[in-house]
Amino acid sequence: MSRAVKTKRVIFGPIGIASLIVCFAVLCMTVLSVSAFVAAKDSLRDAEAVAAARRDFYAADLRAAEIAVQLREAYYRGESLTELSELPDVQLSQKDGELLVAFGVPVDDMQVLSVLLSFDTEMEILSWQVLPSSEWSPEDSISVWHG
Amino acid sequence: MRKRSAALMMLLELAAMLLVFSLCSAVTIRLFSAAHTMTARSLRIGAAADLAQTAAECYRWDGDAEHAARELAAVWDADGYRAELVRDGEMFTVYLYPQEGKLRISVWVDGENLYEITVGAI
Repeated sequence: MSRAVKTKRVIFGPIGIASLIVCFAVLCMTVLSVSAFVAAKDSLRDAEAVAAARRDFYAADLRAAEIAVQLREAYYRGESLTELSELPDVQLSQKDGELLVAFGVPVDDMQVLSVLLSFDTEMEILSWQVLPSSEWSPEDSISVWHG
Repeated sequence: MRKRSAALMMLLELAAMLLVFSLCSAVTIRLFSAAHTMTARSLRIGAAADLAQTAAECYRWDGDAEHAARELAAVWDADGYRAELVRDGEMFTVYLYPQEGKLRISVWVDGENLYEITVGAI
């Protein structure tokens, strides 16, 4: 009985070891390659998103600069800036004898380039910054299942 | 007889595993290759955007295209400035085209226009 078992082990013992080794190697290779692929894909998506965000910012910045130049030229020509109020979101106000002009150019869905200019003897940029387009409101409730 | 059959089975198993290993190796090599290509592209895009931003910020500072060209060591070429810069072992060509109140910045790598922006100055 024991001799038969021993004989069987000797004959069939090595069978399956190659499969196990190959399965382990293939598993390791697959995990590593898929991880590398997913990481590279995420990295590419991030790089493209960052590049697109910068492109959006400079497009908005260019539009804001064009509006500012248009306003400055109109001011120096002595034209009324209120006539230029057809420009998008341009708001005019007076403060201490200075004319304040505010306008915003959307950067993307969530941000706006907000510009504040002051006109007296010359144009002065008081503010030129990217702000969130909608006011942030903290979430003060959480929807949970009450059973 | 029995020993011969066991040896044959072992041989068959080895052959089958070799086949499986080869197939899986081919797939994983393709995945690694694709990952390498994507990583290289993301590095290229990042470097191109950085170069364009450098030129853009120089131009926005004073509205002087020559200032941006000096910063990138660019030379006048036909209708704009051209700079050749090496980043991460790759040659980037940056073109600066001054227009009225604007500067168009274009970054090329290997014959591909990778990044382009237009900036204005007041």
